[in-house]
Amino acid sequence: MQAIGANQGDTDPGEVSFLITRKELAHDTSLLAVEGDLDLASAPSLKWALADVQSAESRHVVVDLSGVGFIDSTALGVLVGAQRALDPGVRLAVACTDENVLRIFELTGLDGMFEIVPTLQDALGFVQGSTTAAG
Amino acid sequence: MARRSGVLKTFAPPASLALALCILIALAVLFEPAAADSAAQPAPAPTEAGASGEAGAERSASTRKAERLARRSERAAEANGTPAKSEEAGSGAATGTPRAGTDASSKATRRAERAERAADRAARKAAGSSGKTGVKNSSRAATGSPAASKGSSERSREERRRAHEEERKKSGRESYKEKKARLAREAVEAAALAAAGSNEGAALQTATAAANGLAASSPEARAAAETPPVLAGEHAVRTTKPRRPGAGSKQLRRTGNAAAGGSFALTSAAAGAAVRNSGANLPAHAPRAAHRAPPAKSSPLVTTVTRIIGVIPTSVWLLIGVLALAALAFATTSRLAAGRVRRLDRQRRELLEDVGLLQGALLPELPARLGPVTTTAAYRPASGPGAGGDFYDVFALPEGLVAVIVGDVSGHGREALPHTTLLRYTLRAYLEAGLGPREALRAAAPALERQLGESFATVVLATWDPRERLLSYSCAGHPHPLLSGLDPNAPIIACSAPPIGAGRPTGTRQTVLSVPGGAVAAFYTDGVIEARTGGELYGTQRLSDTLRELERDAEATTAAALLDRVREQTDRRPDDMAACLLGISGGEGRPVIVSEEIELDGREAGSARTRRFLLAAGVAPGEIDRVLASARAIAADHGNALLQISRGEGSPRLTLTHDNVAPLRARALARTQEVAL
Repeated sequence: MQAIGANQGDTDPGEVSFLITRKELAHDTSLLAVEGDLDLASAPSLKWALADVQSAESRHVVVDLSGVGFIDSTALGVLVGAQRALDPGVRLAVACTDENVLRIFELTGLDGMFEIVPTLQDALGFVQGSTTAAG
Repeated sequence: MARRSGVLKTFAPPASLALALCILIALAVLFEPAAADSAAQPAPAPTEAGASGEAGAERSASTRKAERLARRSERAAEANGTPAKSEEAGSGAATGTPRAGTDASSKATRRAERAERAADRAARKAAGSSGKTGVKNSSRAATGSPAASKGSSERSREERRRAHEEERKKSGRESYKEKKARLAREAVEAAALAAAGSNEGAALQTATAAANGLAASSPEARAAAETPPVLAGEHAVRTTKPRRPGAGSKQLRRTGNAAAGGSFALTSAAAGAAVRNSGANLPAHAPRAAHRAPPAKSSPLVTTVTRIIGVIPTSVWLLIGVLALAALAFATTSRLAAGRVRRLDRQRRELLEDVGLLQGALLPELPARLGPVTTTAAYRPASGPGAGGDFYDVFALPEGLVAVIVGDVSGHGREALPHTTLLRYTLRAYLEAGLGPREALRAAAPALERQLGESFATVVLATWDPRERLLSYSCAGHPHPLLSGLDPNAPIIACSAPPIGAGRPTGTRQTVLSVPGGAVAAFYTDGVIEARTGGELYGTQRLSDTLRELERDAEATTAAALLDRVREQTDRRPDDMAACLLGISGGEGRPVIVSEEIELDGREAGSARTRRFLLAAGVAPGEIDRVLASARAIAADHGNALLQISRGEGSPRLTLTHDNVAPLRARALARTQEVAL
């Protein structure tokens, strides 16, 4: 894993700081590691980071929400938009273990829309496997 | 308006500063010519001349000019037939008048006066330069005058007056103020010169004699001449005090001029010496004379300002120019900024009016009671960029049913508002058409999704059937309603339906509750449970507790009271909060979930979340595979399968059918095709 992407940070007006780090998980997979709360203030940063990854080339995306304690409807909307904008054959996986975030996904019925897995390995396996299946 | 005035206040200091600077510049521009005059021409009073005479730089220039003027006066004297020597020019001018005939005298007088004035100017100019010899000359010049003027009579006085009248007509109208100023100035000069003369015995005597001789026709002048020599100058000044100076004072002025002109025209630098020599007397007389002179031009303030401006160096003028430009720039910027502020303020008001209008359409006035149900609703917009997007509606349906719609559109502000309207009326129409909550969502979602664009919306639809005492609700990505007396975790969260616009079929879940007794059903948006108390989410459990507390007073159990309580208990509310409360009357008896409904397509029928749902619904793990296999089979035939789980006493009862909305849409589609044909 080599960090080649620039850090894209933002500061939450509240007490929690927010940070998105881009890394390359594999030759065809980018990882966006999010730390802090994903809300109205930080959602735009996630949106630009996702757009940056998606616009570059046909790369799989893994969004690591392990460091996220809360995600609001605006940030969920960003993820939904990214999911719907995926090129054919490209997959997006969400790595998440936080109970609150998992419950929010479940409450909003969006858990059925994303591949939500507990670890990065699972996420990589999912996107790589789907690539193999597609290829 | 208070806000607006505050904004304007912010811009006031630069504007006022710029204004002050502009005024300063205007003053500077006004006084600039005066300063130039004061530099090029002699100062108005001998005291000034004395002061400037001490400035060595100006001395040579003024001396040159004085010489020039002296030459001119010589020429004037020659023209008048008097000796070429300027020493005698003054006396010639003064003495020529009485000797000349009645006709020729006025012409001679005019010439003499011109010579006098030229000499006067020269004297004032030369006041700065020194020359001891001037004193002697002055006395000699003055000596000539009295002898010549001794014979002046009443007739010569008349002639002089006429000559003066003519001169005035010829030279054009002179304003009263100017005249007064000039008179005062000349009187002061006369006084000073007289005083100067008093220092030198001979000069004093001749000056007095000159006044006596030349202006004998005027009683005031005579009086002045009779006064003790030291006070002669002062008295002469006093005579100019009347607002309309009489002939006497004019005569006196001429006397002074003649004396001064006669004395100083010759060597041009004499006056300076005279003034300097009379330094002891001058301060005593001249300032007083200046104070007594009524005109504004010679007021000490103007004099001081003029003097200050006169000594301002070029670099300071440049600086003032730069400052003036800066002031102009600041004023322009300030004006532009103020205009922009006004424009933005107006736009903001317009926007708020627009939002207000839309908000009025979105948030309807609810009837306090719909049949046996009390209804209250409240909306608290977020005080930031998160404002806008929440909506609700409560209305009566046929057969006594009450319908509730509460939702939240993603995105905020103005762009979200049209979507809230669209959702509210579209969903209401489907409910009015007789569909149940889930069916209405299922049928409306595809149409709404097309119109929402990239936005999506979470919504809960509910109907209350008072006869069956059943509350049915269906959520699309929206929090489940809370019911007093029901565990907030009782509704099955697993396999919730996604929001409208997420690209997935929604309206796939419905929950039916039996409400046998009195209860309060609270519908709300996620802004309520996502409000923060010190970084922690408010959550459904706290909201449920707050609702239970409120319920102790049935009258106070309103949506507004609920949201106010939430506001009291939270410190950060980043999203809108909306709540809608149904007060269901009745006796005892807790609400209970009687059925859960889920629509499954082929993919969902095999997913992990469906298994979680079935487990949560109380389906035995061993039965799950069999149920899912049957669902897949039905979905394969009809596109989807509808699973109803009745949760009464004992084990749940499962019913598998196919979706009842699909035939509805098929019928609609068939009808559209018929129309097209």
